[in-house]
Amino acid sequence: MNMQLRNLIAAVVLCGASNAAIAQTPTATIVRAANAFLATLDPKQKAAATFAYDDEKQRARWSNFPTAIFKRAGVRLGDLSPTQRTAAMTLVSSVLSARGYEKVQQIVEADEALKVSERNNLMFGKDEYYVAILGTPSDKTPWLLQFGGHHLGLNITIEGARGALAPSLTGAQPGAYTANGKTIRPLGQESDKGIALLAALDDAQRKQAVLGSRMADLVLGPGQDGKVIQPEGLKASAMNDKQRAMLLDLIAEWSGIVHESAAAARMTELTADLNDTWFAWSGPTTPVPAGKNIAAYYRIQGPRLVIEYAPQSMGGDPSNHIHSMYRDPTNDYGRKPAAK
Amino acid sequence: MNKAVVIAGAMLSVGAVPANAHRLDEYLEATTIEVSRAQLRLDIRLAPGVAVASSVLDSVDTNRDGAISKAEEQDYGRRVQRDVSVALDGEDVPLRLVSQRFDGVDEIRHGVGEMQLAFEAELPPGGAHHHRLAFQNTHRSAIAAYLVNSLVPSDRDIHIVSQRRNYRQSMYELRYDQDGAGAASVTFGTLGSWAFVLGVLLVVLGSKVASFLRRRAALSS
Repeated sequence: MNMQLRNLIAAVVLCGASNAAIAQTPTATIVRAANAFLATLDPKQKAAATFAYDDEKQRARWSNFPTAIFKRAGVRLGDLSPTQRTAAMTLVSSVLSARGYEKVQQIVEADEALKVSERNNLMFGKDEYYVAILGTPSDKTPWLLQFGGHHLGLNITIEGARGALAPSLTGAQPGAYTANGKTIRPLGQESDKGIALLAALDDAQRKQAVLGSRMADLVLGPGQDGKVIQPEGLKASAMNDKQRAMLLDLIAEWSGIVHESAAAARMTELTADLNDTWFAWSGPTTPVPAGKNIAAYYRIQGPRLVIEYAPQSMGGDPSNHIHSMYRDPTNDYGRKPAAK
Repeated sequence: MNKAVVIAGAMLSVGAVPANAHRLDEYLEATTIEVSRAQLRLDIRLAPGVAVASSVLDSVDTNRDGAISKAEEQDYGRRVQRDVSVALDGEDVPLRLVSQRFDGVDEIRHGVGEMQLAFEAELPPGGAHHHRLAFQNTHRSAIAAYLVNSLVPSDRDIHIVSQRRNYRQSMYELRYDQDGAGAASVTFGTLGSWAFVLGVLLVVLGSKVASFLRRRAALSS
């Protein structure tokens, strides 16, 4: 075999290996899932599912409200065939971590439980979730996947290897339900880890963290894009190592919704910002029984992070109706310029 | 909330909105405050719950024609303006209504609509280095759920020191520091203006001197 032929074979092998490596990246998997989903749609459905990447109206078209009250755009799961629906959920699962996808499924199942408890009200249930794609699925240029309905508004921007989850809304009503004999709390970890962190603070720290005022709702919920409020509460620089680790673990309940490699990159950012990250609490400070959600509001805010956990007192038990918000003031909808 | 909300058709297709789907018997009044060296801006988001929406609408749609006109929006904005007050370092700060945006009557009536009001005020220049801004909201206090927060200032000369509120958030105090207060009315802009005036004076003076020298040279020749 002469040298030229050997080099050619080596180049082909390397190229193949390189393509295989690319094909196995999370972004490549996501792009494949997006294209596979789009390929199942007829032209009318595809037109409904796709938007320009810079469509600001569609970007902001998410809410905590049911879809009958706040109209979404995209394709509705209930209007899809079983094959199309499977492809849609395969796409959603491809952009999320295993735990993130489980959480999303539990939020959707909670809405199904609400539908049943509301005498089969068609405003609720797992058919009432929408998928939309802004831009063209690509492993190079940015595009955005939206998946949402009642108590769920995921906005995930994919840009090369990066995946940005913000802004995203997660919530649950009921906050706890039973399935197959098990109690499911879609935002149970957010509740448990929040009160555990508060309990781990000493008196002086708690005095800093607990705000003396009632927080009736999310401050930076739907429709509040672009606002950055003044942080308050207890700064993580005044926490000990164990408390700081608990805070990061709590943050990961939101930052870890996106797929694992994007979540890892995000956690690196948030760990770097930890000294400038604040924890504020409003509401009951006493521990709740195991399996119950807290009825207190809390906020975690750093230079590149806003998390709000806000139980809703709407004529019922606030711990059973939760809204939460996850934002990156520097990168909502993937607006941060890509690193060169 | 925006025009994407389609209440009427949705109600027909799915039946009445269940009470626990959204806010009930409270009137959310969420205020954000942005302070800069020379200006103050208040944005107030008003969202009545479904159980109190009719009562709120009665004071908005005053002619009861089922629509909210621009004049009614402005009237309501001015009513809210009378119920909020701002003082800087103990001195009342007069607000002016600069914009308003209201969702439709149906959306508000069903407890999913919002009304957004924006107010601005000029702040006196210079002054003390430390400032105390007090905000109070008494609008519909029997049903109100208040929120008030300061935005992170875009003016880099403003540094927020603390925010304090009463339990209901109807009263709020913001303490902030302002860099270069007093002397600081001299900014790059004003320095530039002074440099421009000085330059003009030098040119005028130079031209007078040149003219004088030319006249003297002419006389002596």
